[in-house]
This record gives sequence, structure tokens and C-alpha cells, in this order.
Amino acid sequence: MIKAVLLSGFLGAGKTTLLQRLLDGRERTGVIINEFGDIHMDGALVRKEGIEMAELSNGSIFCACIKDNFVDALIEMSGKDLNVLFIEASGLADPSNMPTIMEGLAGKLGGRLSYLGSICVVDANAVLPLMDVLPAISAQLAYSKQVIVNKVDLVSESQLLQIEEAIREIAPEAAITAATYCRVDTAAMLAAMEQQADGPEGRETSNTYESRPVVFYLTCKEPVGREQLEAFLRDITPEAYRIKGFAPTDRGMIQVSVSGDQIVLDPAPAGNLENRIAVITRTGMRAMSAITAAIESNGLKGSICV
Amino acid sequence: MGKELVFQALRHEKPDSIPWVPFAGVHAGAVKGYTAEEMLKDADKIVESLIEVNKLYMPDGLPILFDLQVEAEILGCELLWAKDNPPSVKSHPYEEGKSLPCVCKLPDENSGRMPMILDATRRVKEAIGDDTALYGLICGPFTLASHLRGTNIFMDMMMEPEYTKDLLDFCGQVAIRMAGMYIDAGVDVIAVVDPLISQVSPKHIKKVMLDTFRGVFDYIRSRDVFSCFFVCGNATKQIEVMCEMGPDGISIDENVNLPEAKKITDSYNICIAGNIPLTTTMLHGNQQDNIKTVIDEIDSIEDKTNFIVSPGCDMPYATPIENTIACAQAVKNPETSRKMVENYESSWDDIEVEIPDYAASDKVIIELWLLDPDQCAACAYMQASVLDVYDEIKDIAEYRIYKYFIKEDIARTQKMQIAQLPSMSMDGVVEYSSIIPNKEELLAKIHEYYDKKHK
Repeated sequence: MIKAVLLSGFLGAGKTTLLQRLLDGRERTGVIINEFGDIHMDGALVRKEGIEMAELSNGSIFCACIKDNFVDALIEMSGKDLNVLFIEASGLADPSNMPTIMEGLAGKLGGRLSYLGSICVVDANAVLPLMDVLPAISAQLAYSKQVIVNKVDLVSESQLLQIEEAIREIAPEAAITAATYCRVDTAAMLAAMEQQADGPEGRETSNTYESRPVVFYLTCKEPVGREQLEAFLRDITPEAYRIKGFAPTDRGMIQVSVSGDQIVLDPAPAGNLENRIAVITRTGMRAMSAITAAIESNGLKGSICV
Repeated sequence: MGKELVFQALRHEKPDSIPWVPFAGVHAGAVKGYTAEEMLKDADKIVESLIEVNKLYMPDGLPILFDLQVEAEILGCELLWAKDNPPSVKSHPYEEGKSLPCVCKLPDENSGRMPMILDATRRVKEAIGDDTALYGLICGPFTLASHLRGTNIFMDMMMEPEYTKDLLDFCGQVAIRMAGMYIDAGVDVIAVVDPLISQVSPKHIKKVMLDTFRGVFDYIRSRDVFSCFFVCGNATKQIEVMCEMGPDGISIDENVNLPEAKKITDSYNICIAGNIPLTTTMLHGNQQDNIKTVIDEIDSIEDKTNFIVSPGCDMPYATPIENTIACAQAVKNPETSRKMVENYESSWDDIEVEIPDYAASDKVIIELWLLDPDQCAACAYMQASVLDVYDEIKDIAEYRIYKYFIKEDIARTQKMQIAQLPSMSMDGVVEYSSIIPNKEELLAKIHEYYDKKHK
């Protein structure tokens, strides 16, 4: 029987890092990745030999817009020879209807796949204010068996206590683990989930068309200076929940990852990567004006295009 | 090169002479004997028609296609096709509930009529694009939102500003996609055509729409082509906020006083285009009327920078060819043309119209003063505001519709001194001018008139 595990967490909290750790050393694994927009960066970062992958883009898998594709992917995965299936939800996913989806599918899955539960990753530095404004974050916590409070090196001990208290209020049954870079004992975590009781019953998801952010894509027409790129990203950071993708620079292909005000530019992994950066905006169309202004002011006109 | 004149105007430089951009939409098809529907669905006919118009009218710029329903059709609106008009939107798929279209519906090169339109654009570019500036017309975000949502959009703005903003941002993304495709196909100017903007107060525009429109114009600028913002109706009050959105040019119709509007656009260093009256002059006037109108317009403008002569909006299908030629002649040869019409006066006074006896009527007489409701979105929504509630009021009110392309209706409109279209009057008093009332407001007003009669 394949065990399905949902990975939730806001944009930039560390879901992909967790996924990499979960895949490390595990055999016969399947992965369904759900990303905003049609840029497949997370897929590029975890893709390797022996992993069955499906990528779903253009919305949340819990929203009516692509739920059917998600269901098809689950059915397809259930026919494969796997031990475990990890489902990486998009950052604004509200998984409240996950139990309902699994119940509805029971007949079609023929007992070959069962839902083990969800692991939610939160960014210690950002989770409290986000919980106030985004109902999806609370739903991700409420429907998780395990919560990883990630990036704890960025907060004080008293702040961490505050965060844990806030999480316990929403998810009293969930086990909470503090971590940096999602360094957790994944085997122990999955084993613990087997013992934990099922979470709350399914409800309506808040993922409707409305809760979907505006996404813009940038392409580099030529390699850009790394410092210039960083300055440009810094200018548009306030407009975006998350910026991610790959860009050619004077120092080779760079992997861009911006969440909150943290800008991380690392050498990109080897392979055929798409030259594209997705800007998942916080401010909608206003972000377009900020992006075009930042392109101009950083001397990138003609080099970076929307 | 004619197109350089358009560029000079949109770059805010002193032009060598005044540029002329006739908005020959379905009229271009009429010139070649095609119906509107035939032309708007067939790349060969578009190319053939535009080449012909380019020859006849000596334009410095031309639109590829004047059809604001392309996007709506892609997003699931049913269209009602006509022989002598662009299609109109028949159904509003997002009328119920409060939802947004899926991002998977954002248009691309394969959506709806886009393959045909882009093919036509590339071929027109090849044929006449060296000399003539080509305008790619896209439906503005607010008009598109109204196509999707119907008249509810006016209530949404008041009651659900956040939802309205989300819907507008979706429509803004559509606009960016459309602009991007036209630019890739070689157009020189993107015209963001949002006739309905004149129906919204500047305060609400700032609150709900400014960011979306700015984003669209900033995107167009980042692609190194020009942008022009087309509006219809009396947009006098909106010109300033339209300037704040940052287009390179603004195009207005006859409802706006051109020299006054130019003072505002000049203060933002934005080009203004307009505003030959579509029906009174271009459709029903004679050649002298057209020459005189253009000459008067040119003479009313002191500083000829930032200025393009064009019709107020999409030219009527049946505009006589000779009238448009007369306009072209006047723009291109103002000195000789001025002499031709020195002592000419035109008149509508010889058409008899009978004004209703409002006091004697038991019911409130609602009169709708419209341009062509099949072509002017604001007029269609003004008309719908009454038709939608008619069942509720039919015992106390009746309505009459006048269209400004019918000679008798033009004469009536002038006799009643209706200054702005669309307007709605009750018992002969203009109650709504350009601004479309919401349902509650309208019902209250009709009852108020009825009570007054029956005191």
C-alpha cells in the first residue's frame, strides 16, 4: 500500500528543502508537485533517477480549477510500484478538502493508496503576521499531523514559544518540531504519523479563483550582472510573496529564491533549466509597475523582459 | 513616412504636419463590400480591406481590428454578430456569484480568433507597416470586467471594491497578454480601449482601477511601443486621472471639448487624439461638413504638438467614403480646405420632431438618449439598466429609446439640448448623464417622479 503524505507551507517556508530531505535515501517514491504559474523550479530541484514525478501548475490542487488533474495524478500514481507518495502543495494551498477528496477517491484507488496525513512547514520569521492575513496558513496547520517550525535561527527563544503557542491553538494534536534548513529526522516523523489519529474532517477549501495571486514571469534576454540582478530583486521584493526561478548571469546560471526579504542567489543545479523567474505578487498589477520601474532604474532595460 | 508623424506626436515632439489616424474598423470591410461579421472573422478580408483603406484615406496610422469583444469571446461571453457593427456581448459568464475566470483562460496565440488576428496583423505589417503606424486594439480592463460581469460591475465597485480589484487585475493580465501578442506581431501602438471609463467617477477610478491601468501602460512602455488610451462619452472629468495612468496618448470623442481637454493632457505632456463627430458629421454629414469640422478642430488647437486628428471612435460601418476622404483632405491640406468652407453652415433644423406631452402622461416617460447601443458599451449598459427593471416599473413608467445615428433622433437630441450621450431623462428632465445608475437608485428615482405626478 502506498502512503500519501501532503507537504504544505507558505511560499518560501522550506517545502522543497523538506521534500529533498524526504527523498534522500528513500526508494520507490513518487512526487506530485503543485506550483504557482507554469514554472517548474521545484521539480527541477528534486528530479532524479528513480522518482516518479507529476507536476501540476496554474493554481492550487485544491481549487476547482485544477482539482481534476490532481485526482487523475493520484489515480495514476496509485498504479505504480511505490512505497510513499509525497504531494508538495503550492504555498497558498488550503488543504481543508483533502480528506473529502481522498474519501471520494477511495473506490478508484482500490486500497492501493492511503492518505497518511500532512506535514506543514512554517517560516519562524514570518508565520505569525501571515496567519493573520491568510486563512490558508491556518488551514494548512489545522490539517497537519506534523508541523516543522523552520528557520528558528532567525527568531529568539521567546518568539519561538509564542509561535508554538499560536500553532497549538489551531492544531492542538499536531507534533511541533523546531528546525533550521528543515533538518529533521524524517524517518521518525513518518513513523510517528502512522501512530497519530486522523485529523479533522474535510471542509470546503478557501482556494477559489479569488485567492489566487497574480504571477508575472521575467526572462533574461542576455546574461545579467549578479549584483545588478540582486539590486533589481531587492527593489521588487516588497511587491512579491515569493520570487523564484533561474537566470543567466555573468557568473553562470543562478537559482533565484526570494521569500520575505531574504534573497538567496545560488549557482543553479546542472541540467536543462528554463531561463525564467516567476514573481508571485503580493500587490497584483501594481507589481507590474514596480517591476518595469526596477528594470529601468537598475539599467536592465533590454536585458530583463516581462 | 506617415507613421513617423504619429510617432512624433506620441513622443511629444513638434510634428512636421498634423497626423491623421482614421479609426476604420468594420468600415474598412464596408469599403470592400464585406459585412462586419465577414471581415472580423477572416484574415484575408482584414488584410484586403486595410490595404484598400490605406490607399483611399492616406492615413498615418490605422487600427488592425476595432473589436472590443475578442477577449470577452475568449473568456466565454456569447457574442451577437451583426452585419454593420462589431459584435456585442450577449451573455456575462461571471454575472452570478463572485468568481474570477481561471488563469488557464488567459489568452494566448491559439485562443479564440487570435490565430486569425495575429496572421492578419503580420500580413498588414508586411504590406503597409513601413509607412503606416499600426494600432493593436485591446479591450480595456474595466470594459472587459463589465463584459464578464454585466451591469453588476457598477454595484460591485461600491459594495465589493476588493473583488472588483481582483477582477480588474485579472482583466489587466488579459490586457498584458493581448498587448504582448500584438507587439510580437509588429504593431507600433497599443490602444487600450476602455469606453466605459467615462461612466465611473474619478474617485472610484483612483480607488479601484488606477494600479491596474498603470500596470498595463507600464508594461507596454517596457516593450518599447507606444500606448494610447481610448475612451468614449463625456470623459471630461476623467481626463486627468487617465493622464495619471501614464499612457503616451489619449483619444476622445465629440462629447469632450477638445481644446479644454488638451490643456489637461498638455500639462502631463500626453498626446491627445480626436474627435470628429461620428454620426452627425462622418455618417450623415456631407463633404463640406467634414472638411469644416476638421478645419475648425485644427484651428481650435493652438499648439499642434501632442495632437492627432481622428474620428471620435470606431467609424460607423456605412460612413460615406467621400466624407472620410474629405477629412483626410482637410488634415493634409488645411490651407486650401479652409478656403473651401469659409462661408459654410450646416443645419439639422429642417427635421420636424414632436416632443411628448410629459405632463399629460399618466406614466413617467423615461427617455434614453444613446449613441448606438450595439456599438457603445456605455449606451448598452444605460439601456440595460432600464430594461432590467422594466417588469417592476411597467405600471408606472414607459421608456423610449433614441439612437444618435438616426436622423430624426439626432434632431430630437439637439432640440432637447441633450449635451452628453448616453443620458437618461424622466419627463423631459435629464437625470443621468454618462453615469449609469444602479438598480436601487433608478427605482427610487422613477417612484419619485411618479409620486410627483400623482400628488
